[in-house]
Amino acid sequence: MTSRNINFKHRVAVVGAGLTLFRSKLLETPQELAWLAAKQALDEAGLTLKDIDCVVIGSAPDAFDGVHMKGEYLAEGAGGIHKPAVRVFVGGATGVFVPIAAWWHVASGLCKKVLAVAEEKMSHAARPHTQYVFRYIWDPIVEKPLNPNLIWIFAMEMHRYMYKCGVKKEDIALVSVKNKRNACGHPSAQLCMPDITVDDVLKSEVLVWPVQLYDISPTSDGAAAVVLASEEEARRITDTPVWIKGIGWTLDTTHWTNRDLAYPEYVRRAAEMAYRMAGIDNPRKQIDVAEPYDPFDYKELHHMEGLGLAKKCEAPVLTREGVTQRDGDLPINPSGGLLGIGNPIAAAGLMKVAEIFWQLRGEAGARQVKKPVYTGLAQAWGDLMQAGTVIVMGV
Amino acid sequence: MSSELFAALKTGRLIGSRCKNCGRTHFPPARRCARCGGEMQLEEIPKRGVVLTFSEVYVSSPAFTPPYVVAIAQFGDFKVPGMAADKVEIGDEVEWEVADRHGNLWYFFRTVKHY
Repeated sequence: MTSRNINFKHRVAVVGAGLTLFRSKLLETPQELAWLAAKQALDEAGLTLKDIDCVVIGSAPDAFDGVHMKGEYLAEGAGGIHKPAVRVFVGGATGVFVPIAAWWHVASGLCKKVLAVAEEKMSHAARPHTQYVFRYIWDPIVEKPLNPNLIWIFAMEMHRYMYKCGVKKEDIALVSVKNKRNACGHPSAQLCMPDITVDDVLKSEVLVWPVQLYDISPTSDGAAAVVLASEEEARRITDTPVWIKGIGWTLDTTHWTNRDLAYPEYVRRAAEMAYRMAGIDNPRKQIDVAEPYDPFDYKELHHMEGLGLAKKCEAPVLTREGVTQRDGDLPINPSGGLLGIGNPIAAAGLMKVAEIFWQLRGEAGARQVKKPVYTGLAQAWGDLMQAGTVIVMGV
Repeated sequence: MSSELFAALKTGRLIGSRCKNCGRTHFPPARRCARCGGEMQLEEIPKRGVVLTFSEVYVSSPAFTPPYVVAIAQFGDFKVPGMAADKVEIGDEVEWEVADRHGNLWYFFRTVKHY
């Protein structure tokens, strides 16, 4: 099911973005983190809370922050009081869904300026480990008796992808090396590792074979925010608005074991929806820079293929040839991604949108990609590995 | 349809369901096809299958003793997740077997030995 109604009356722009540090065990409360990111995004846009019509909050499971009704709780921190405020939640895909929901607030003509904030605090509430939150997301009949954790289901997906495409662990480790090195240019980064090698990844602790410690992003606290505005307002606010050209999202079956694990259908469908809206028929040529979701190193490759940025099984080849490096022909995760900057779930997805915003404005500083960029993409993935969210932006 | 599944396990059988409308299969058995909404009928899952993917778990909850192997195997038209009794490789032939686990009947995969 894809949207065919692409005759939207209102163009929507991103006019400011903000990001906190991504760290384990930050001392700020979730509300304080939400405000730090919101304030930075407002400052970048030259706006104050008074200018904002509506607030959209994104956050993954309540259990992470240890606050049920986290949407209302975070809305207070982000400045949503006495404004129309709503929280959206599609698991790990939430971060990119936040600007999608903010987009329809503006595209519908309902609001002119919307503040969109995503926050996650993963390192305090869930005991004994963040992974324990995921004990209660499974099919009660077939999966719960096996007591799965996310790492072992992704290990199965990674294994199937490796088998189907003939990919070696060494090829996959290159993604981790690239992103953890890229992260050194990012002031928010939790895992800047300038000297990391493929060998380091291959020698790191085995968690669930074939997944090792450095194949995975860390658990993090953090928040991100963007300000969206209607065309009229955007032109008043800035000379360099970044337009939202396409959005897409989709859901696959909760029974993930019934799927073809070698190829992310949920991303392909979400991307097709966004591409149709953005008028993109050859993403490999028309997308200049991309931030696909990389909580695991193999997922960057998997998602590049689902997004049509590489053919099936081609992403490892492009990676080996350096195409996806910051100075390559198709820079992938120049921010450092979740593997390098960190993974406060919803905030990590929105961080990717912020990165594309800064890249397209030429404001990414040490992380600015070498080639000129006009069109960028951010993507996230979540729920029971079934939700895909995609946003295409351009100048 | 979990009661039907548990009843089948008691007689040493494993069942899934197939959509009468579009033919898609589902395990665990479901009353309704998630894709087309069609009615489903129960179907026996073939005894022998092939490993599609697996992982070896080294970090786990206290209910299990690592390392252990979990896999998804294809039995006829059915993809089934489960624990493997021993080490497996992708492409290995396996059979499902019903056994008592902590007082519950459940199934696991055993590699088919070719002598």
